[in-house]
Amino acid sequence: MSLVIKRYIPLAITFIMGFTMVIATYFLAPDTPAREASTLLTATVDILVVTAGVLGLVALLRHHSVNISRRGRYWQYSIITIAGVVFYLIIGFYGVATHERYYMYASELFSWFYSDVYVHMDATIFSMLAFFIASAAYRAFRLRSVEASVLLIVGALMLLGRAPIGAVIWEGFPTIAQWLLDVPNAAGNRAITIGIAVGAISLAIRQLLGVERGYLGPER
Amino acid sequence: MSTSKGAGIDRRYLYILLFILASIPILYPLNLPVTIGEHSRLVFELTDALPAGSIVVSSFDFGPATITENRPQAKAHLFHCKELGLRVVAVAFWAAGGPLGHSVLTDVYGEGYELSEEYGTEIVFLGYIPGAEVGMQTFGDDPWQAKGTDHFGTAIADLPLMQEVRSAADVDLWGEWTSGTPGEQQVIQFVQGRHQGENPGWPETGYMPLVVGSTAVSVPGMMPFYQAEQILGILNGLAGGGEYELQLVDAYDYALVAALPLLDSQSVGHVLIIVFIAIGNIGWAISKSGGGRGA
Amino acid sequence: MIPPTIGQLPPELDLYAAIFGVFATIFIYSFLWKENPLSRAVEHLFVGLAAVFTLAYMYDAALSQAVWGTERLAEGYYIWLIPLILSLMYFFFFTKKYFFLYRYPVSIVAGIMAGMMICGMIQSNFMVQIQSTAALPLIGEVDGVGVWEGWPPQGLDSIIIIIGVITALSFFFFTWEHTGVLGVSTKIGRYVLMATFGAAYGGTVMARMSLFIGRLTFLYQASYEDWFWAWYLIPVAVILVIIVGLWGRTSSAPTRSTYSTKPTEREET
Repeated sequence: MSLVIKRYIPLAITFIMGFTMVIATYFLAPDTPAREASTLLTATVDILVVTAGVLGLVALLRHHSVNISRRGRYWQYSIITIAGVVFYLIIGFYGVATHERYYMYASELFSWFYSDVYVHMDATIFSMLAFFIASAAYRAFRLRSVEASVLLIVGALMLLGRAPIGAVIWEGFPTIAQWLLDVPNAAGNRAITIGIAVGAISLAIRQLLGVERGYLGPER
Repeated sequence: MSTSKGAGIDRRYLYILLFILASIPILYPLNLPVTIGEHSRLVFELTDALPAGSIVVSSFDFGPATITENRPQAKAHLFHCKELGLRVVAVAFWAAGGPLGHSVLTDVYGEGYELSEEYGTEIVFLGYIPGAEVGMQTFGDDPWQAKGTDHFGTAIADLPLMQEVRSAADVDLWGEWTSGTPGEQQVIQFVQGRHQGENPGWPETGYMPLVVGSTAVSVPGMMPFYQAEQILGILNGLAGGGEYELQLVDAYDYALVAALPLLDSQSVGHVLIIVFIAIGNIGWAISKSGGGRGA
Repeated sequence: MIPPTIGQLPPELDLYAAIFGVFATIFIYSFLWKENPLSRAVEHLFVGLAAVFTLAYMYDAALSQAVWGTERLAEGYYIWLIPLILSLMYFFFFTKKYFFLYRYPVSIVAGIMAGMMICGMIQSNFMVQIQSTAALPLIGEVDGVGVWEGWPPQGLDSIIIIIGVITALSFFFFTWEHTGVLGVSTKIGRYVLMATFGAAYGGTVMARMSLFIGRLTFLYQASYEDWFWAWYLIPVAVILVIIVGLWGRTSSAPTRSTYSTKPTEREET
């Protein structure tokens, strides 16, 4: 009985939901009540996805709280993390308390903090990749084989063709870069796209049939 | 950084060199001439051909990490739509697209645009629609199911423009400003594919017209869809945004240029990478031929 | 109607934002030279803020989807209570005894997304790609131009794409050994894929450079009114990093409590 509730009912739900989506897409005409019901179903799923994000915050707070209480690695920085969470939450709750519809982001202070303070950190952390690309170009990119040479030559032509300097050096670079993008790259990427589609479809079917159960989480 | 000297030059000096050389064109512009590519030209021509009153969906699906590439693209296209009198329904399927989209709309439509007369009839910002691709499919099937209010809390039924947007079939052009998932592929899979042929005004293929402004990483992967005419035009990263801005400057005296001045620095960066690759390989070849370890 | 905003923010906040932005940028970049307490502190702060921002937008999205607006809970459509209640079942993730209840909303989402994936992928990523490959022009005219006119001729591009797609697909065929005809095909396919990866590499470099250029633009061009420019603070931030770095080197060796995850002996007793 417990195995039915813990495992088989969730698997059945997965199958029913997925089968419903397939039937709705291929066998229900648009603007019919049945099709509109399936749209309502996907709309409600949007909310389910939302709550999963809350789990992330709870898990983060738990991890850093434990780190502080156990004086673990870099526990002082965990204080900074939690302080940031508390500070931003206070701003958010101020928005909730003062907004007619109890929204958080509509607080001007909250939005300002995001677009003028947080954005700098996010953008800078991501921009460090430029340095790693430069370092990897010098240290790791070696013409060890014909394939690597093809990769390098195409990459270099793309770099020269997609920046104004390429046309200044030789007017043919932009045309060559465009051709490389439109022809050989399109061919290879089409093969990859078809391969990914086949893989994704087979994985989805396996999930619907209950063969893939990783999404259910650990057995407890 | 104990391994930083592995290949001869400490990589920290490469970082400094990159920092300095990329900074120079920002402080002292080189004014290199910009060639307009076919992909960005198609975005311009397609948008320019729309009659006034056409409905455009503008989807801000990017985060702060790619703001340098995506923001100028979105801003330029919105300006173009505003100049042509197109009606814009702005949405976001990334959480970050909410505030970033609001910021772009403020730049184009003015501070306090949400309180202006044209809001609700010429421009609507629905804000973040959760659910990623599920949200996209819901929006394409019925925007009224996807969101009950706009970004500012106004009920959908109170927005006159939304009375005319009941599914993707009512959309004349979809502008997707993206840097990952959900992005243009999800629009193709979960919106365009489901509504093929529902609008007689669409191209012969029956696909909802889709133009994409994307970070340069994603563009090679889009080419199969571009070739199949599922995507009709692409703004390729910072360069694509700059090319589009240049066309707007020529045609509409566009003053909000953001990408165009940065292309000089991008040129320097590209050349530097090629030089690094060349120096690295020359050093490797020399060490290899000299009987050394080889890197 | 549109609810009122909270009120005008004091303009000095832009100055504080610019100051914070410069210090945060330089502190994070200092990681490239050597990891130091300042870079670590900013990264930890970033993580905390990112989590709250995500929560805020998720919460607002749930409100604007289920509670407020046309045909929602606030207007008496109680069907929207169902997903709200179901979504609360996610919190059983943190229990041991009732963990299985967490699987119910997960199953709903997984099932719907799997169903969507089948429908979306088959049409757009599979059928259309094969159709458009087969429909590439090899004879006749396109837009009034013969497919074998001009340079490069469109017909030649079509042949390259058709051969490229087939050979690149054959590269992923592992049912048979790559010998004979299949061996030749996979060899050609490998070169096609290398060209693809070269284009991807070029795009990646372009994108990363753009991100960095965006930060440089902020450092050099951000300003407040006419008297403050962000770049004034770059040397200050660099000096701070150097001071903190030197202080870290000259202070005593790291204690066990700093680097160990285990409690110290004193704490145990």
